Amino acid sequence: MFLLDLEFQFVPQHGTAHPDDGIFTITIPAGEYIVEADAEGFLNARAGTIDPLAGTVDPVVIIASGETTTMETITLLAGDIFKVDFLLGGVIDEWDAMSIGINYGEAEPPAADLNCDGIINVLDLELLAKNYRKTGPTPWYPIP
Amino acid sequence: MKRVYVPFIAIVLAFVFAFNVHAQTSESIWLTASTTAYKTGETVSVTLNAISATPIQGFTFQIRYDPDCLRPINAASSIPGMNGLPLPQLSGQVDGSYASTTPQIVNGLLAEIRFVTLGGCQTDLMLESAALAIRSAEGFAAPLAGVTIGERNINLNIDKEVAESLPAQPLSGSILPLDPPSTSQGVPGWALGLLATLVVAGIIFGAFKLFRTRSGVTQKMSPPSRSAALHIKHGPQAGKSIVINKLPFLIGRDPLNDICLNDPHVISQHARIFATNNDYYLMDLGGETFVNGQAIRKSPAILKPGDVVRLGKSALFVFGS
Repeated sequence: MFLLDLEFQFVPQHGTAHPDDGIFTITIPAGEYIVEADAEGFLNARAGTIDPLAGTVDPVVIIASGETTTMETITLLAGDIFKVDFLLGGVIDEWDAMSIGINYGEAEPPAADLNCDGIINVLDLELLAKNYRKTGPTPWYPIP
Repeated sequence: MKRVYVPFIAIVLAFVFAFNVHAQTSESIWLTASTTAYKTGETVSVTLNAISATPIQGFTFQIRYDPDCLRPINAASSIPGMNGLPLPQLSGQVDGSYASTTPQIVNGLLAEIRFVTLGGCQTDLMLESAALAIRSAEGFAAPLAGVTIGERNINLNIDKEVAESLPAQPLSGSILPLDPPSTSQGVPGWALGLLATLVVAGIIFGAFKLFRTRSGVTQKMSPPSRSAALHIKHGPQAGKSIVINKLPFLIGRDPLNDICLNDPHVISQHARIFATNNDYYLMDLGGETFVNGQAIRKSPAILKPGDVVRLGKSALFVFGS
Protein backbone atom coordinates (compact mmCIF):
# COMPACT_ATOMS: atom_id res chain seq x y z
CA MET A 1 0.00 0.00 0.00
CA PHE A 2 2.84 2.25 0.87
CA LEU A 3 4.51 1.88 -2.48
CA LEU A 4 1.25 2.18 -4.36
CA ASP A 5 0.87 5.64 -2.89
CA LEU A 6 4.25 6.52 -4.20
CA GLU A 7 3.49 5.53 -7.73
CA PHE A 8 1.40 8.62 -8.19
CA GLN A 9 4.23 10.83 -7.10
CA PHE A 10 6.36 9.67 -9.97
CA VAL A 11 6.16 11.78 -13.05
CA PRO A 12 8.66 10.50 -15.59
CA GLN A 13 10.30 13.27 -17.55
CA HIS A 14 10.28 11.11 -20.66
CA GLY A 15 8.13 8.14 -21.43
CA THR A 16 5.00 6.72 -19.90
CA ALA A 17 4.03 5.42 -16.50
CA HIS A 18 1.66 2.61 -15.61
CA PRO A 19 0.12 3.71 -12.34
CA ASP A 20 -1.42 0.28 -11.71
CA ASP A 21 1.88 -1.50 -11.30
CA GLY A 22 4.48 1.27 -11.04
CA ILE A 23 6.25 0.28 -14.25
CA PHE A 24 7.66 3.04 -16.42
CA THR A 25 8.49 2.68 -20.06
CA ILE A 26 10.91 5.20 -21.51
CA THR A 27 11.95 5.37 -25.15
CA ILE A 28 15.43 6.80 -25.56
CA PRO A 29 18.18 6.70 -28.19
CA ALA A 30 20.78 3.94 -28.02
CA GLY A 31 23.68 4.72 -25.75
CA GLU A 32 25.07 4.45 -22.24
CA TYR A 33 23.00 5.84 -19.42
CA ILE A 34 22.88 6.41 -15.72
CA VAL A 35 19.35 5.65 -14.53
CA GLU A 36 18.05 7.13 -11.32
CA ALA A 37 14.84 6.82 -9.32
CA ASP A 38 14.08 9.54 -6.84
CA ALA A 39 11.12 10.72 -4.82
CA GLU A 40 10.63 13.42 -2.21
CA GLY A 41 11.56 12.06 1.21
CA PHE A 42 13.30 8.95 -0.10
CA LEU A 43 16.86 7.88 -0.71
CA ASN A 44 17.41 7.76 -4.43
CA ALA A 45 18.46 4.66 -6.34
CA ARG A 46 21.01 4.85 -9.10
CA ALA A 47 22.27 2.53 -11.82
CA GLY A 48 25.80 3.77 -12.40
CA THR A 49 28.08 5.99 -10.39
CA ILE A 50 28.68 9.71 -10.32
CA ASP A 51 31.57 11.22 -8.40
CA PRO A 52 31.01 14.97 -8.47
CA LEU A 53 34.23 15.61 -6.55
CA ALA A 54 36.39 13.68 -8.99
CA GLY A 55 34.21 14.69 -11.94
CA THR A 56 33.77 11.09 -13.09
CA VAL A 57 30.69 9.34 -14.42
CA ASP A 58 30.36 5.60 -14.86
CA PRO A 59 27.11 4.55 -16.53
CA VAL A 60 26.05 0.92 -16.29
CA VAL A 61 22.92 0.86 -18.44
CA ILE A 62 23.69 0.20 -22.06
CA ILE A 63 20.79 0.59 -24.46
CA ALA A 64 21.29 -1.05 -27.82
CA SER A 65 19.38 0.14 -30.85
CA GLY A 66 15.98 -1.51 -31.13
CA GLU A 67 16.33 -3.40 -27.86
CA THR A 68 14.64 -3.11 -24.52
CA THR A 69 16.52 -3.05 -21.25
CA THR A 70 14.59 -3.76 -18.06
CA MET A 71 15.75 -2.51 -14.69
CA GLU A 72 15.24 -4.69 -11.64
CA THR A 73 12.41 -3.65 -9.34
CA ILE A 74 13.71 -1.22 -6.77
CA THR A 75 12.25 -0.09 -3.45
CA LEU A 76 13.28 3.38 -2.37
CA LEU A 77 14.07 3.77 1.34
CA ALA A 78 11.92 6.27 3.21
CA GLY A 79 13.44 9.02 5.32
CA ASP A 80 15.77 11.19 3.26
CA ILE A 81 13.65 14.29 3.78
CA PHE A 82 16.27 16.99 3.77
CA LYS A 83 18.36 16.33 0.65
CA VAL A 84 21.64 18.15 0.81
CA ASP A 85 23.34 17.08 -2.38
CA PHE A 86 21.57 14.84 -4.84
CA LEU A 87 24.72 13.91 -6.73
CA LEU A 88 26.66 12.94 -3.63
CA GLY A 89 23.83 10.75 -2.42
CA GLY A 90 21.85 11.15 0.72
CA VAL A 91 21.78 9.89 4.26
CA ILE A 92 18.82 9.37 6.56
CA ASP A 93 19.89 11.12 9.70
CA GLU A 94 18.83 13.21 12.70
CA TRP A 95 18.08 16.24 10.51
CA ASP A 96 15.48 14.24 8.63
CA ALA A 97 13.99 13.07 11.93
CA MET A 98 13.90 16.62 13.28
CA SER A 99 12.21 17.74 10.04
CA ILE A 100 9.35 15.45 11.02
CA GLY A 101 9.44 16.69 14.62
CA ILE A 102 9.26 20.40 13.85
CA ASN A 103 6.38 19.86 11.40
CA TYR A 104 4.48 17.39 13.58
CA GLY A 105 0.74 17.48 12.90
CA GLU A 106 1.14 19.52 9.71
CA ALA A 107 0.81 18.53 6.05
CA GLU A 108 3.86 20.48 4.83
CA PRO A 109 6.53 19.99 3.67
CA PRO A 110 5.32 17.03 1.58
CA ALA A 111 8.75 15.40 1.77
CA ALA A 112 8.23 14.81 5.50
CA ASP A 113 4.89 13.08 4.94
CA LEU A 114 6.57 9.80 4.13
CA ASN A 115 3.45 7.64 4.00
CA CYS A 116 1.51 10.25 2.00
CA ASP A 117 -1.48 10.20 4.37
CA GLY A 118 -1.70 13.99 4.49
CA ILE A 119 -0.29 14.45 8.00
CA ILE A 120 3.23 14.39 9.37
CA ASN A 121 3.16 12.23 12.48
CA VAL A 122 4.63 9.28 14.34
CA LEU A 123 3.88 6.93 11.43
CA ASP A 124 6.33 8.88 9.30
CA LEU A 125 8.88 8.80 12.11
CA GLU A 126 8.50 5.02 12.38
CA LEU A 127 9.17 4.64 8.67
CA LEU A 128 12.25 6.82 8.98
CA ALA A 129 13.51 4.96 12.05
CA LYS A 130 13.58 1.68 10.08
CA ASN A 131 16.09 3.20 7.67
CA TYR A 132 17.94 5.45 10.11
CA ARG A 133 21.63 5.97 9.18
CA LYS A 134 21.24 4.31 5.76
CA THR A 135 22.98 6.07 2.91
CA GLY A 136 22.27 6.46 -0.75
CA PRO A 137 22.15 6.15 -3.58
CA THR A 138 20.84 2.60 -3.39
CA PRO A 139 22.60 0.51 -6.05
CA TRP A 140 20.35 -0.40 -8.93
CA TYR A 141 21.04 -2.73 -11.82
CA PRO A 142 19.53 -3.75 -15.14
CA ILE A 143 18.26 -7.31 -15.40
CA PRO A 144 20.86 -9.23 -17.43
CA MET B 1 34.99 60.68 37.75
CA LYS B 2 36.81 58.06 35.64
CA ARG B 3 38.59 56.71 38.71
CA VAL B 4 35.21 56.09 40.33
CA TYR B 5 33.97 53.99 37.40
CA VAL B 6 37.07 51.78 36.97
CA PRO B 7 36.65 49.66 40.14
CA PHE B 8 32.92 49.46 39.51
CA ILE B 9 33.41 48.17 35.96
CA ALA B 10 36.05 45.73 37.19
CA ILE B 11 33.65 44.33 39.79
CA VAL B 12 30.88 44.00 37.22
CA LEU B 13 33.22 42.20 34.78
CA ALA B 14 34.45 39.85 37.51
CA PHE B 15 30.87 39.06 38.48
CA VAL B 16 29.85 38.36 34.89
CA PHE B 17 32.90 36.17 34.31
CA ALA B 18 32.37 34.19 37.50
CA PHE B 19 28.74 33.37 36.73
CA ASN B 20 29.20 32.63 33.03
CA VAL B 21 32.25 30.44 33.11
CA HIS B 22 30.49 27.72 31.08
CA ALA B 23 28.73 29.91 28.58
CA GLN B 24 31.68 30.33 26.31
CA THR B 25 30.00 32.29 23.53
CA SER B 26 26.64 33.77 22.77
CA GLU B 27 25.59 30.58 20.98
CA SER B 28 27.17 27.47 22.38
CA ILE B 29 26.55 23.96 23.68
CA TRP B 30 28.42 22.24 26.47
CA LEU B 31 28.30 19.18 28.68
CA THR B 32 28.40 19.21 32.49
CA ALA B 33 28.16 16.76 35.38
CA SER B 34 27.60 17.64 39.01
CA THR B 35 29.34 14.47 40.20
CA THR B 36 32.08 12.43 38.58
CA ALA B 37 32.66 9.74 41.24
CA TYR B 38 30.22 6.84 41.31
CA LYS B 39 29.85 3.31 42.60
CA THR B 40 28.83 0.33 40.48
CA GLY B 41 25.10 0.30 39.82
CA GLU B 42 24.60 3.99 40.40
CA THR B 43 22.91 6.35 37.98
CA VAL B 44 25.19 8.84 36.24
CA SER B 45 23.50 12.05 35.26
CA VAL B 46 25.06 14.54 32.86
CA THR B 47 23.46 17.62 31.42
CA LEU B 48 23.64 19.12 27.98
CA ASN B 49 23.40 22.89 28.12
CA ALA B 50 23.07 25.60 25.52
CA ILE B 51 22.63 29.27 25.16
CA SER B 52 21.24 30.83 22.03
CA ALA B 53 19.89 34.24 21.20
CA THR B 54 18.12 32.71 18.21
CA PRO B 55 14.96 30.71 19.01
CA ILE B 56 15.48 27.06 18.15
CA GLN B 57 13.11 24.27 17.14
CA GLY B 58 15.30 21.34 17.97
CA PHE B 59 18.67 20.07 19.02
CA THR B 60 20.73 16.96 18.49
CA PHE B 61 23.70 15.44 20.27
CA GLN B 62 25.92 12.39 20.09
CA ILE B 63 27.76 11.31 23.24
CA ARG B 64 30.45 8.62 23.04
CA TYR B 65 30.66 6.22 26.02
CA ASP B 66 32.39 2.96 26.90
CA PRO B 67 29.73 0.19 26.82
CA ASP B 68 31.85 -1.90 29.19
CA CYS B 69 31.52 0.80 31.85
CA LEU B 70 28.18 2.46 31.20
CA ARG B 71 24.77 1.67 29.83
CA PRO B 72 22.54 4.56 28.73
CA ILE B 73 19.07 4.63 30.23
CA ASN B 74 17.27 7.70 28.95
CA ALA B 75 17.40 11.40 28.30
CA ALA B 76 14.88 14.09 29.12
CA SER B 77 14.37 17.66 28.06
CA SER B 78 12.38 19.95 30.31
CA ILE B 79 11.99 22.58 27.60
CA PRO B 80 8.24 22.87 27.04
CA GLY B 81 7.14 21.28 23.76
CA MET B 82 10.59 19.87 23.00
CA ASN B 83 9.89 16.21 22.24
CA GLY B 84 12.39 13.37 22.07
CA LEU B 85 12.51 11.48 18.78
CA PRO B 86 12.82 7.72 19.33
CA LEU B 87 15.54 6.60 16.94
CA PRO B 88 17.66 3.43 16.90
CA GLN B 89 20.75 3.62 19.09
CA LEU B 90 24.25 2.30 18.49
CA SER B 91 26.40 0.61 21.08
CA GLY B 92 28.89 3.09 22.49
CA GLN B 93 27.05 6.20 21.31
CA VAL B 94 24.02 8.01 22.66
CA ASP B 95 22.20 9.57 19.72
CA GLY B 96 19.61 12.06 20.92
CA SER B 97 17.36 14.33 18.88
CA TYR B 98 14.60 16.62 20.08
CA ALA B 99 12.19 18.80 18.13
CA SER B 100 9.49 21.35 18.82
CA THR B 101 6.80 22.73 16.57
CA THR B 102 7.36 26.21 17.99
CA PRO B 103 10.59 28.22 18.26
CA GLN B 104 12.06 28.39 21.76
CA ILE B 105 14.72 30.53 23.38
CA VAL B 106 17.19 28.35 25.28
CA ASN B 107 19.45 29.53 28.04
CA GLY B 108 20.77 26.69 30.16
CA LEU B 109 19.62 23.10 30.42
CA LEU B 110 18.79 21.37 27.13
CA ALA B 111 18.62 17.78 28.30
CA GLU B 112 19.59 15.48 31.12
CA ILE B 113 21.17 12.19 30.00
CA ARG B 114 21.32 9.21 32.34
CA PHE B 115 23.52 6.14 32.40
CA VAL B 116 23.94 3.28 34.85
CA THR B 117 27.44 2.26 35.89
CA LEU B 118 28.37 -1.36 35.12
CA GLY B 119 31.61 -1.88 37.05
CA GLY B 120 34.87 -0.41 38.24
CA CYS B 121 36.12 1.91 35.50
CA GLN B 122 37.98 5.10 34.72
CA THR B 123 36.10 6.31 31.70
CA ASP B 124 35.12 9.36 29.69
CA LEU B 125 31.91 10.69 28.31
CA MET B 126 32.61 12.69 25.18
CA LEU B 127 30.21 15.04 23.44
CA GLU B 128 31.14 13.98 19.94
CA SER B 129 28.83 16.40 18.17
CA ALA B 130 25.90 18.64 18.95
CA ALA B 131 23.84 21.20 17.10
CA LEU B 132 20.86 23.49 17.48
CA ALA B 133 18.14 23.34 14.85
CA ILE B 134 16.04 26.01 13.24
CA ARG B 135 13.41 25.77 10.54
CA SER B 136 14.65 26.53 7.05
CA ALA B 137 12.61 28.55 4.57
CA GLU B 138 11.52 25.26 2.96
CA GLY B 139 10.29 23.91 6.29
CA PHE B 140 13.15 21.51 7.00
CA ALA B 141 15.26 21.28 10.15
CA ALA B 142 18.56 23.00 9.51
CA PRO B 143 21.57 23.62 11.75
CA LEU B 144 21.88 27.00 13.38
CA ALA B 145 25.14 28.48 12.17
CA GLY B 146 27.84 29.80 14.46
CA VAL B 147 27.19 27.51 17.42
CA THR B 148 30.36 26.49 19.21
CA ILE B 149 30.81 23.40 21.36
CA GLY B 150 32.34 24.18 24.73
CA GLU B 151 33.20 21.62 27.38
CA ARG B 152 32.78 18.23 25.75
CA ASN B 153 34.59 15.73 27.99
CA ILE B 154 33.62 14.37 31.39
CA ASN B 155 35.95 12.02 33.22
CA LEU B 156 34.16 9.51 35.43
CA ASN B 157 35.62 7.43 38.22
CA ILE B 158 33.46 4.38 38.88
CA ASP B 159 34.28 2.33 41.94
CA LYS B 160 33.79 -1.43 41.73
CA GLU B 161 32.00 -1.34 45.06
CA VAL B 162 28.32 -1.92 44.43
CA ALA B 163 26.10 0.90 45.58
CA GLU B 164 23.15 0.38 47.88
CA SER B 165 19.98 0.66 45.89
CA LEU B 166 18.64 4.16 45.99
CA PRO B 167 15.35 5.36 44.58
CA ALA B 168 15.97 6.99 41.19
CA GLN B 169 15.26 10.70 41.02
CA PRO B 170 12.31 11.39 38.74
CA LEU B 171 13.00 13.00 35.38
CA SER B 172 11.05 15.99 34.24
CA GLY B 173 10.06 16.78 30.68
CA SER B 174 10.02 14.73 27.50
CA ILE B 175 11.76 11.43 28.18
CA LEU B 176 13.64 9.75 25.37
CA PRO B 177 14.55 6.06 25.83
CA LEU B 178 18.14 5.31 24.89
CA ASP B 179 18.14 1.53 24.82
CA PRO B 180 21.38 0.40 23.26
CA PRO B 181 21.40 -2.66 20.96
CA SER B 182 20.98 -5.89 22.92
CA THR B 183 24.47 -7.10 22.03
CA SER B 184 25.98 -4.24 23.99
CA GLN B 185 24.41 -5.32 27.25
CA GLY B 186 27.03 -7.94 28.01
CA VAL B 187 24.85 -10.99 27.33
CA PRO B 188 26.39 -13.12 24.59
CA GLY B 189 24.21 -14.25 21.72
CA TRP B 190 24.66 -17.94 22.52
CA ALA B 191 23.34 -17.33 26.05
CA LEU B 192 20.24 -15.65 24.66
CA GLY B 193 19.78 -18.56 22.24
CA LEU B 194 20.15 -21.09 25.07
CA LEU B 195 17.69 -19.15 27.21
CA ALA B 196 15.18 -19.03 24.37
CA THR B 197 15.58 -22.78 23.78
CA LEU B 198 15.02 -23.51 27.47
CA VAL B 199 11.94 -21.31 27.55
CA VAL B 200 10.47 -23.01 24.46
CA ALA B 201 11.31 -26.45 25.88
CA GLY B 202 9.71 -25.47 29.18
CA ILE B 203 6.55 -24.32 27.44
CA ILE B 204 6.35 -27.54 25.41
CA PHE B 205 6.99 -29.66 28.50
CA GLY B 206 4.39 -27.72 30.49
CA ALA B 207 1.84 -28.05 27.72
CA PHE B 208 2.56 -31.76 27.50
CA LYS B 209 2.12 -32.19 31.25
CA LEU B 210 -1.12 -30.25 31.13
CA PHE B 211 -2.33 -32.33 28.22
CA ARG B 212 -1.52 -35.54 30.10
CA THR B 213 -3.33 -34.33 33.20
CA ARG B 214 -6.43 -33.34 31.29
CA SER B 215 -6.58 -36.52 29.28
CA GLY B 216 -6.40 -38.56 32.45
CA VAL B 217 -4.14 -41.12 30.81
CA THR B 218 -0.44 -41.45 31.20
CA GLN B 219 1.02 -41.69 27.71
CA LYS B 220 4.25 -43.59 27.94
CA MET B 221 5.74 -43.59 24.49
CA SER B 222 7.57 -46.86 24.86
CA PRO B 223 6.04 -49.24 22.33
CA PRO B 224 4.21 -52.32 23.52
CA SER B 225 5.96 -55.63 23.04
CA ARG B 226 3.68 -56.50 20.10
CA SER B 227 3.87 -54.53 16.86
CA ALA B 228 0.77 -53.04 15.27
CA ALA B 229 -0.48 -51.82 11.92
CA LEU B 230 -3.41 -50.12 10.33
CA HIS B 231 -4.95 -51.93 7.37
CA ILE B 232 -6.62 -49.49 5.00
CA LYS B 233 -10.08 -50.71 3.96
CA HIS B 234 -11.42 -47.82 1.94
CA GLY B 235 -10.19 -45.32 -0.63
CA PRO B 236 -7.43 -45.32 -3.23
CA GLN B 237 -4.95 -47.03 -0.86
CA ALA B 238 -7.34 -49.79 0.19
CA GLY B 239 -5.52 -53.03 0.89
CA LYS B 240 -2.37 -51.34 2.03
CA SER B 241 -1.04 -51.80 5.57
CA ILE B 242 0.83 -49.16 7.47
CA VAL B 243 3.03 -50.30 10.32
CA ILE B 244 2.88 -48.15 13.44
CA ASN B 245 6.60 -47.78 13.73
CA LYS B 246 6.73 -44.70 15.95
CA LEU B 247 4.79 -43.27 18.79
CA PRO B 248 2.85 -41.15 19.03
CA PHE B 249 1.51 -41.90 15.57
CA LEU B 250 -0.36 -39.01 13.98
CA ILE B 251 -3.12 -39.23 11.39
CA GLY B 252 -4.58 -36.26 9.53
CA ARG B 253 -4.70 -34.26 6.33
CA ASP B 254 -1.49 -32.34 7.00
CA PRO B 255 1.50 -33.85 5.13
CA LEU B 256 3.50 -33.81 8.36
CA ASN B 257 1.34 -36.57 9.82
CA ASP B 258 2.51 -40.19 9.82
CA ILE B 259 -0.53 -41.02 7.73
CA CYS B 260 -1.65 -38.21 5.45
CA LEU B 261 -5.26 -38.51 4.28
CA ASN B 262 -6.42 -36.32 1.43
CA ASP B 263 -10.02 -36.35 2.57
CA PRO B 264 -12.13 -33.19 3.05
CA HIS B 265 -13.73 -34.72 6.14
CA VAL B 266 -10.38 -35.29 7.82
CA ILE B 267 -8.84 -32.32 9.60
CA SER B 268 -5.16 -31.44 9.52
CA GLN B 269 -4.36 -33.28 12.76
CA HIS B 270 -7.26 -35.62 13.21
CA ALA B 271 -6.19 -38.38 15.59
CA ARG B 272 -3.21 -39.86 17.32
CA ILE B 273 -2.23 -43.31 18.45
CA PHE B 274 -0.13 -43.72 21.54
CA ALA B 275 0.82 -46.57 23.82
CA THR B 276 0.73 -47.12 27.54
CA ASN B 277 0.89 -50.21 29.75
CA ASN B 278 1.53 -52.39 26.72
CA ASP B 279 -1.68 -51.22 25.04
CA TYR B 280 -2.39 -48.96 22.09
CA TYR B 281 -4.86 -46.09 22.39
CA LEU B 282 -6.54 -43.86 19.84
CA MET B 283 -7.28 -40.24 20.69
CA ASP B 284 -9.46 -37.86 18.72
CA LEU B 285 -7.84 -34.44 18.17
CA GLY B 286 -10.90 -32.52 17.10
CA GLY B 287 -12.38 -34.31 14.10
CA GLU B 288 -14.87 -37.13 13.99
CA THR B 289 -13.28 -40.38 15.08
CA PHE B 290 -15.01 -43.71 15.60
CA VAL B 291 -13.92 -47.10 16.94
CA ASN B 292 -16.30 -49.91 16.01
CA GLY B 293 -18.94 -47.29 15.20
CA GLN B 294 -18.65 -45.57 18.57
CA ALA B 295 -17.56 -41.95 18.51
CA ILE B 296 -14.68 -41.13 20.76
CA ARG B 297 -14.50 -37.66 22.14
CA LYS B 298 -12.54 -36.63 25.19
CA SER B 299 -11.31 -40.00 26.36
CA PRO B 300 -8.90 -42.09 24.33
CA ALA B 301 -10.13 -45.51 23.25
CA ILE B 302 -8.07 -48.63 23.65
CA LEU B 303 -7.34 -50.40 20.37
CA LYS B 304 -7.53 -54.15 20.07
CA PRO B 305 -6.80 -56.32 17.03
CA GLY B 306 -9.76 -56.25 14.66
CA ASP B 307 -11.12 -52.90 15.81
CA VAL B 308 -12.50 -50.82 12.96
CA VAL B 309 -11.34 -47.24 13.01
CA ARG B 310 -13.10 -44.57 11.01
CA LEU B 311 -11.97 -40.97 10.61
CA GLY B 312 -14.42 -38.44 9.19
CA LYS B 313 -16.84 -39.88 6.67
CA SER B 314 -14.87 -42.48 4.84
CA ALA B 315 -11.31 -43.10 6.08
CA LEU B 316 -11.48 -46.66 7.34
CA PHE B 317 -8.83 -48.80 8.99
CA VAL B 318 -8.68 -52.06 10.79
CA PHE B 319 -6.30 -52.15 13.66
CA GLY B 320 -4.19 -55.26 13.76
CA SER B 321 -0.83 -56.77 14.30
